[in-house]
Amino acid sequence: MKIKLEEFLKDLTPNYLDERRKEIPDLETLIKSKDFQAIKKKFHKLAGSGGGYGLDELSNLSKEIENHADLQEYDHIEQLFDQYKDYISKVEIEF
Amino acid sequence: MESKIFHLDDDPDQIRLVEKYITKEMGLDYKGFGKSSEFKASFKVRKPELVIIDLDLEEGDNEGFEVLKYIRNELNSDANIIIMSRRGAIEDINYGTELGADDYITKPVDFQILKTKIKNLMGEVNELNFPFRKFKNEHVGKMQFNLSLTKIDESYIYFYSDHYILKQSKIIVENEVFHKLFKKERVKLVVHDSSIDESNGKYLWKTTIENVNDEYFQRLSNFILRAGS
Repeated sequence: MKIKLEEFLKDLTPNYLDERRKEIPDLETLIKSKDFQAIKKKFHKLAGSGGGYGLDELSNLSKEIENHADLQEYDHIEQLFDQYKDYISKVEIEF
Repeated sequence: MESKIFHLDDDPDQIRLVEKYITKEMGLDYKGFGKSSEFKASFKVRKPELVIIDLDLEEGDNEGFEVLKYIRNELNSDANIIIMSRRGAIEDINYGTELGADDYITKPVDFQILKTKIKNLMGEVNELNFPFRKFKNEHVGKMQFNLSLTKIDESYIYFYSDHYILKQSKIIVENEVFHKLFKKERVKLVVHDSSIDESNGKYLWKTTIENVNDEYFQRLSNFILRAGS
């Protein structure tokens, strides 16, 4: 999937996306730990930053994971994290 | 040189993003801080004109409110204060404004809104100097308009509207379909997305109830399956 971003994000979003791709193994470990408070905190941050970098779906999925972490619903978190990984790996950006 | 705008947020990704926008797109002086102690120490010396403060910080959730109290009560500063947080509950907004914040923005940041609010607070919007009256106290109002319920899938409830709405806005919707869905006709929803549908020129709002849970997903699934049977 391709998304077109504003020019001022040109030297920001590629690095941001790269960081998100690199941290996937850490996020997997975090989710497997079932430390719901830490999961909530991490995805709270991602929900707050993704959309600013033009990656709205990253924010939406993170917000849902944050909500399910609050409810300690591990299965939902796993499903949503699969969607998150899929989005992160497939999204293409252009300016 | 004095920094006109200070920004306190423990997420370096937010600092990088807002710094770029404020310095490059708005051409204003900016300084970002990750820790409230450093922010407070620098505030006393450099006296910024406007500050942007996150609520949940490394030092603890709600630390942003403590910083707000420090600015208003201990320093007696009248610097313009914008809270910028992922939290968008009405209680947080009310408490923030009670403590003396001038405005509140929810994350992810919408840069057009941030720009307008900064310019407004720094007195740069009214270029023709039209007179205006600013209300310090809150005057709550109600707005009503028509929405067209367009579809329900297993996660979201979609509406068409002639109007754009900010993400994370909370709305109360009345619709007879909700009687079948939730056993009540008035339901409080959160808007997760509002994007233009080029096929009809209308905005498509993507919503859920405020706190999604298993029962919510179950009700949507049952509703969809009943329609298909």
